[in-house]
Amino acid sequence: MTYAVVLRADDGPDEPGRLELERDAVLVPGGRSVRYSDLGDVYLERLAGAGGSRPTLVLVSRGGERLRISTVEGPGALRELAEELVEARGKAAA
Amino acid sequence: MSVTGTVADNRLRALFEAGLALSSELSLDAVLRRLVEAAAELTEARYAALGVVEPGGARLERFVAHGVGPEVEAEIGHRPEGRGILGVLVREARPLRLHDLTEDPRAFGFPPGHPPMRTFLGVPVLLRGVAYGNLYLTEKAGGRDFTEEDEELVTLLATQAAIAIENVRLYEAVTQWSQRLEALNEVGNALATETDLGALLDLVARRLRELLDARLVLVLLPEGRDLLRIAAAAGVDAEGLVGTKLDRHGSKSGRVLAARRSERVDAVLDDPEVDQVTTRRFGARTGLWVPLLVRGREIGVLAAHDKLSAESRRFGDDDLRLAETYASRAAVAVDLSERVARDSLRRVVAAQELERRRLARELHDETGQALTSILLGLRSLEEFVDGEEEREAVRSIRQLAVDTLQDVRRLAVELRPKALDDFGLVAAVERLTETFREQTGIAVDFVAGLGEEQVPGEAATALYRIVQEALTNVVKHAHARGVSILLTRKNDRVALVIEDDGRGFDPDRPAEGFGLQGMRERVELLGGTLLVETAEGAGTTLAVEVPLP
Repeated sequence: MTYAVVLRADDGPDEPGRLELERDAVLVPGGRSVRYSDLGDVYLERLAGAGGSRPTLVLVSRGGERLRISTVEGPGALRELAEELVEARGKAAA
Repeated sequence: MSVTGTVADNRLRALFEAGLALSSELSLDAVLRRLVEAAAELTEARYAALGVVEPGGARLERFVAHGVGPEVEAEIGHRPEGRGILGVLVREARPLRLHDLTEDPRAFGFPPGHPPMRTFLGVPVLLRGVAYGNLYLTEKAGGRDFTEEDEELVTLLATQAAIAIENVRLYEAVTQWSQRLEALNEVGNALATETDLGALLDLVARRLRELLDARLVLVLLPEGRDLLRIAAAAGVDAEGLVGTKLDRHGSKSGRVLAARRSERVDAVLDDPEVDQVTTRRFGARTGLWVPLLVRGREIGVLAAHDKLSAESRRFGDDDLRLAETYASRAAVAVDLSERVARDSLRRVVAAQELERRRLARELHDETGQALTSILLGLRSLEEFVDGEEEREAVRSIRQLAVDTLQDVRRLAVELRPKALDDFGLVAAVERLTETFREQTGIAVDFVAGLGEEQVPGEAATALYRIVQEALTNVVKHAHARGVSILLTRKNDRVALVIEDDGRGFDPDRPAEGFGLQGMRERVELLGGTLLVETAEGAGTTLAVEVPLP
């Protein structure tokens, strides 16, 4: 499954690109990957932007790094992605 | 009555009976066998044979013998080819009588194991003045020579045989056409009841293969202006061919489609118009191409390769006629099926847009209005509440309502932008590109050259959705820094060009999730075209044109 997203790692710049859910890890723009077993927390928060605040998905790694993700895929994509990641993290932990 | 007269009467009776027997046969092989037997009996020849001349008239293509047993035949090995004395008859096509054929200077000699033959009578079998073959008789009983009377009788027999052969050929042709018409009728019924395009194309390929006894049959449909795609394949090595694309301007299939004329090729390797690379992949030696035409419109091509029942693998004129008859029926069925599929897709797309419009309106007008009222109420409440803690609680609820209102408005726009219905395509795309720029940081240059003219509803929706999909692709695949979108009027069409400076892709292998198929379907529903120009490392350009009603 792939999504068109904009990624911000910690306080870094916004990086548009493709997010891909693989068997053991999520690939994010910039060629990085985060193993599901390394995901500490997955939650939604609001992030202020030029066009007002919008929901953003936050992935927190066990090392404490935060990846903020918004999508340009249209209605429902962010919540669908959040559910997929939570489920994958749960399976990796089991 | 004299003894001589009785003998002559008996021979005439035998000739008459042989003629009757010949005319009662319906199989060509049986007629030829009867003919040599009758000729041997009439002339008291020990050996008789019939050589059938090949169409070019230079050699023998068939040889039916009487009097030579299978052991002797096996010892001789090969059948005569029409050289020596037999060749004289093939070339000259007139009766020949010899006392001793071995002494004739034109004789070629016998192969080892061949029985000795001396006396000889040869008579041509003429069909409408053209040599069909020759009757050869040798070794008249008692070592006698063949007589002039023998020659006359065999010539008469050959004339009767010619009529019988002609009748059998006509009968076989009629029977074959009857069987083929029956098969065509069956195919027509099957085609009329199958509306699923994929299944129909498979059926078209399979049945044509059966009718022609071809090794491989392909159904090719146009893809864009420059390509043909193998949409169905039946036969040997058919697996894996479906989906293969051919250059429409550099292949026999494309040329046949453009010329709207069938073609038969006896040696594909020698034909410069045949796409040799693809043909080698099929392993084809011969080919037959027939365009699929409906009301003068080209909708595809049928290609058949290698007739299995012919040693040369060549198709004949009958095969070409049959394929053309079949193609005219198949074309109507394919066209009908495509229209059913298009109508079905159009209904799905229309229903989807209607549903989105209803939801967006509901969210904007009902949920949005309700949230706005809640916000106003909370603002009033905030003024009346005493205590900082209570005011903070109200402010927090108000912020939640503000966020929710933003989400609802965004959701409504994403579902169906109100601007598209209220202000038209240009306003909606402007809004879309602004949001995209804000969210992704990718520069978008949008230029609209439509003036005051509004693009009608269905086309406007399709073009808006294509821009949406293209921008999503830019984020997902292109790694682009900038996108330019140009919307203009081009005579009676609207042209949309979306160009990015990203990394492009191999057009023959687009990555999964490009959404190009969906875009193409939307455009084709409107009778428009979509062209994709891209190469790895060279950006991507989508050029869409849709006609205005």
